[in-house]
Amino acid sequence: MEIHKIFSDIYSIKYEDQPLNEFRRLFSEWSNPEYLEIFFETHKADLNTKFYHNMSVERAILDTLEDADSLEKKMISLARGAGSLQTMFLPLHELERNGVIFSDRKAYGGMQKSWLRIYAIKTLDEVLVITGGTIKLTRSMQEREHTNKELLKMQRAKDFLKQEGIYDQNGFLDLEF
Amino acid sequence: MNMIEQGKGRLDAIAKSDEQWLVDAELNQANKSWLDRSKRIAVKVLLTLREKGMSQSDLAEKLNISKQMVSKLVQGKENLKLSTICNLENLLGVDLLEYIVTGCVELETYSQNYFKPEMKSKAKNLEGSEEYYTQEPIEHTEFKRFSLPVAA
Repeated sequence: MEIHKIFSDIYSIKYEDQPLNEFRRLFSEWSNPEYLEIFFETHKADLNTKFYHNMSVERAILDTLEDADSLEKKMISLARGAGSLQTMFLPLHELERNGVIFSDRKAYGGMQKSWLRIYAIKTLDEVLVITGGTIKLTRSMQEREHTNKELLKMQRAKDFLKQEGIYDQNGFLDLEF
Repeated sequence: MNMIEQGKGRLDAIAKSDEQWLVDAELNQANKSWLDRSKRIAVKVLLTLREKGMSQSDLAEKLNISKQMVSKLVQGKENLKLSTICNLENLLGVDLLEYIVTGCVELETYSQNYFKPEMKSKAKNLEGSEEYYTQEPIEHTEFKRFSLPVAA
């Protein structure tokens, strides 16, 4: 596992089994029609619901390409110093308390109701470490293997930061997912 | 030095810098015009291949192009020649140029009194108050959705 500095106080984990760090992997996948076609074919049943108005795979791909483009523009703007990425992230858990070393954060795509998710952990010194991300089609992360995996990655990243002695073990919040 | 400062310092000490993403992202935006069209072609080609039960290898063979080129094509990274587009259209029986034009995406960016995440929970209570109207506007991007023709 490696840590890559993206810009400002934004870092990303790079896992051993991935050629790119998570930040880059997400944008690479979300802008790739081939990846998206396979993803939405695999998860077609989740689109074929009342919530998504029985959305077609075609529409899902095209929407995602738009969202990813919008998010990339936003990231460029932030990297150039316009605004703060911190404001794009929301607490992953409702029960977030002050005084913890790590808190889980999630960022939404460029539009409201986007299913693009970037997951990160935030430290007390306002550092965001991106641990992963995905396309989330269900209400809870535990409902699907690919979203549940993101929770595990988040925990692995926390363990790594502790093991490397980057952050103290004290003050961790027991998280309830 | 306290523990928090040490944390940031240690993080910087082991972190590798990834400056290339910004270069790549800005290149994507600079080439957005043709890349968007290339991606739309990729989407239509992929959907048609699945519908017809054809593989990417079949496509490469029938068009007499390399598998590498097909791979770039379906990832929306190929700056296609008109002759290649016509060959694809003839082979797959679809109108790719029309598909590109149908449903061009319009983006609208505007500023509004949009509450920052940390303020959202307070927003309802603040509505109508001075604080509500003095929130710093942040840029907000929204899509105008398009309607795609639904295949029969």
